Amino acid sequence: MTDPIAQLTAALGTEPPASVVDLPPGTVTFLVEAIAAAKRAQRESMAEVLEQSLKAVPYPLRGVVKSVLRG
Amino acid sequence: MSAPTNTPATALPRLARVLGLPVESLPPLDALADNDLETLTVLVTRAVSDHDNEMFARTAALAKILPGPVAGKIAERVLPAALAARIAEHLEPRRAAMLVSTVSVGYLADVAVALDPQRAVAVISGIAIDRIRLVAIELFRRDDLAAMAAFVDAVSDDALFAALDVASGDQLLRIGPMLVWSPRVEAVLDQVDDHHLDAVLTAAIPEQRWAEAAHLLGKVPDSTRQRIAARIAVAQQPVRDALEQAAASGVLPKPLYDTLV
Repeated sequence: MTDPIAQLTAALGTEPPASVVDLPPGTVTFLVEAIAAAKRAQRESMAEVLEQSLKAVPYPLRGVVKSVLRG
Repeated sequence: MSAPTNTPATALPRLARVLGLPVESLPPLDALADNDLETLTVLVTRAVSDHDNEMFARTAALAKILPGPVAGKIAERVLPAALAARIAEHLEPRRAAMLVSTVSVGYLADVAVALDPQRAVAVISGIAIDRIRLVAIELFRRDDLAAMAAFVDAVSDDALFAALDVASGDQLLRIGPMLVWSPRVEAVLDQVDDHHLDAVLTAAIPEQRWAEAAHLLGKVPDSTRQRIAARIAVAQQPVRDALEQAAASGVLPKPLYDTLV
């Protein structure tokens, strides 16, 4: 899949607004890569936060917290 | 998707924030239609936040089992504001209202800036006006007008009044072009007291903010413009002179000036 607009549609999970077609392809590619990087950074950050949060939770509550986080 | 409720001036900083990039590093997006920049910003925000929606919802569920002060302390200690904002969107309004009373105003302001205003309406509705006023004071202290403007449609009239009440005249002038004007915004501005109208009038002069003044005067309803005219009539001579000179030099459109005197 090399069409930047199609890649942006996939990254957004929906059609982008109409005038995105007026952007240079390089700009659309920049957005696609930036969205992917933001998703990766968010997941990594969230995993780290949850690990640190568990350490901060009072010991008697850790079991129940773990079970809630696991779903 | 519903009609955009924010302007391009507020969209660009929010787009950069959700991508974790400085606004200067974004490529030019001028080719986008104004509404499309706002729409793109909302779509990008949701694509990124929805990526981990399930995890955010589970984390928000912790607020039900952890005592409020404990949850607040842990959040402020380990949770970056951007993640806290995503999680907050999954909180029950009552729980959110209780949690915001346990964290610092600075942290709350950081979280507020990262919230998706449209998704946060329910959560914000539960927050006490006094707390909203403190966050508004903090955001105006930071001069983050784009963040304030983004929230206009997400807060109650009372919260909007509380926020406007703590803005300086200069900030009220500069936030005007960032607002999406609606009958509600006009109605709220029409109820702004004379003290604030005077502050807006006098703020335009030292910084020569005639473009912002013209924008505001061109947008407010006739009833507000008549009130402004009444304030000009009783304003000190230097204020009236400055307005007259601005109109004479063309920086304040003459037809607009004529409606005021």
